[in-house]
Amino acid sequence: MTSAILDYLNTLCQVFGRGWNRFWFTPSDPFALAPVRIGAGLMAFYLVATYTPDLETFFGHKGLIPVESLKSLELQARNVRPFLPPTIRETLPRGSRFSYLDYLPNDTGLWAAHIAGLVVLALFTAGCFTRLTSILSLVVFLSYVHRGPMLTAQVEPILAFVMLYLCLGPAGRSLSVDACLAARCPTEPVAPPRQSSSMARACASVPQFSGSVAATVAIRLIQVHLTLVYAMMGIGKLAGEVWWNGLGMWWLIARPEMRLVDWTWLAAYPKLVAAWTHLQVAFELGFAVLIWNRTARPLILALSVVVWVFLAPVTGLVTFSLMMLVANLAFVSPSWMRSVLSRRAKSVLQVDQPIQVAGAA
Amino acid sequence: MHAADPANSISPNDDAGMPSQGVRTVISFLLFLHFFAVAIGMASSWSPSALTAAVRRVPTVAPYLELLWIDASYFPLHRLTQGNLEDTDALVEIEIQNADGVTTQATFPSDEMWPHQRFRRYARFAEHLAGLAETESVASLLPQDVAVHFAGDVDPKKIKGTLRCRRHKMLDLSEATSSDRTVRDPYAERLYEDVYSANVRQFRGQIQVRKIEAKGENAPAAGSSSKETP
Repeated sequence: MTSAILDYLNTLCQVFGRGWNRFWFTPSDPFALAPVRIGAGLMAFYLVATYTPDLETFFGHKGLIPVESLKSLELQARNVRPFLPPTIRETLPRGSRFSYLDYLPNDTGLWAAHIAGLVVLALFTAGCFTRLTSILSLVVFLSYVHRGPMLTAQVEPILAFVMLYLCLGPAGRSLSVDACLAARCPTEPVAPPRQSSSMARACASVPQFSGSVAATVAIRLIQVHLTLVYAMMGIGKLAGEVWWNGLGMWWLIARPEMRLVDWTWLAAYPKLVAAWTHLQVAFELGFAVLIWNRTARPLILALSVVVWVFLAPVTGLVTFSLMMLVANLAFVSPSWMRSVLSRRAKSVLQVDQPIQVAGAA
Repeated sequence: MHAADPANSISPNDDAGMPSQGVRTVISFLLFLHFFAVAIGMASSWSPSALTAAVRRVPTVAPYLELLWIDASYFPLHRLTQGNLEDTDALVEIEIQNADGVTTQATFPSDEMWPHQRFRRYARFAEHLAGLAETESVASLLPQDVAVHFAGDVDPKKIKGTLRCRRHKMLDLSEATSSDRTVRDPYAERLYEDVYSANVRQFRGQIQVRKIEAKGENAPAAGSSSKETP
């Protein structure tokens, strides 16, 4: 009996170990990170750029959020934290915080730092010096989050972890300025170009890449963390009565200030509202499980597009919905994205030869 | 469309192209620590047990999670609504009058804000004012900053004003389908509820807000007398 248990435990450890290694350490195509980098970069750029009209109003001298107030709010909220509404607790100033915006002596410095931050984010999005700009972009983005946490909502926590994990992988290997530069000045042997334009080549791949373990780790981290988010979103809904009695979506549709489109006419169809409510919960819970099934994955990804595209105008959560779609790209096959982009590049640039995709075994 | 599966994308052989076992062990350990910290962040941000709160207090755990903003529970905000008053819209109205009688009025968030992300930021700020209003020790922290901001560089001794934060409740299904236009008006006055009202005054040479005690009572016009809490 004891030996049977030991055998079982031994087999369990071996199988788990092999699975763990295969999951985290099998080299993969770094192309998977490129669309995520572009999406996350654009989102971070947009979020920071939209601070521009209100930069001094929020963070300037006599702004709405002085640094001292953040510290005092953090200290005073510590003791009363359990009594505050949960939606407020999530975005209170943290005990550990860093923002370079805290240390700027005047509004001129604030503007200079703001413009510099936008330049960094633009470079990261374009994939220019990506190893460096990915880290700098994370610092820029988090500085704005920590400087005004009460201005943040659902999108920032998602973007924060995506940008963090992009720092770990070779996010600039494809669809980037780095890739263009590498194509022009190859340091490794390159397969001979076959009448395709340099732009198309750079668009589609980086010369002679091999599978990357860092890419696997980065993409897996995004996938696992995103799954946790979906699971928590679904479980969170199950804890609320409105998501059981079919009124959850109504609570989003009927908020008069936030929504972009008025769908209150759905009040005449309460069963439709209830169906939407239940489907939303089912999708979020289902995503966390079914996305790991290779056959179900394309369907779940297609459904996610429908879910977030419909949710964005109704709730006004446009950036959050877009960010969820960007994060979902971590589950899309790089070879499929390559083939789509190659077809696009061929049709736009009229490349009559197939684009070389080196290293795609 | 094919699904992303790094495990099958390159090599059919186990260990082919993988880093050495030592490197894998170190990375695995770091991954374990990371996800352990993320799990602690999720659990302790929502409704912390004695254990998760204690683990979060372990040096380096809280700074790691908080500095990287990965301590969210993805629970209250990301479930989008819970059907509570805190899930309704909030807005802030402020009116400040200087010695010359010039009045500055502001309301945020405002429909004129573009792009929508700007509107959402002011809306979140207003939600914080409304959310903190019930808790005495923190209720006036943000209103104080709002008052100082809108008072600008005016001499504090000459300032009078009011600030109030209101919840904008929504229609329920039956109201939205009512044949009476006034009942289904989403901007009807009955749907607004004051959650915080204060007078803006100078106190010891500085601008200060003084919360008006009676909950639900509208802030009076600047200059009129009212019961204030010091």
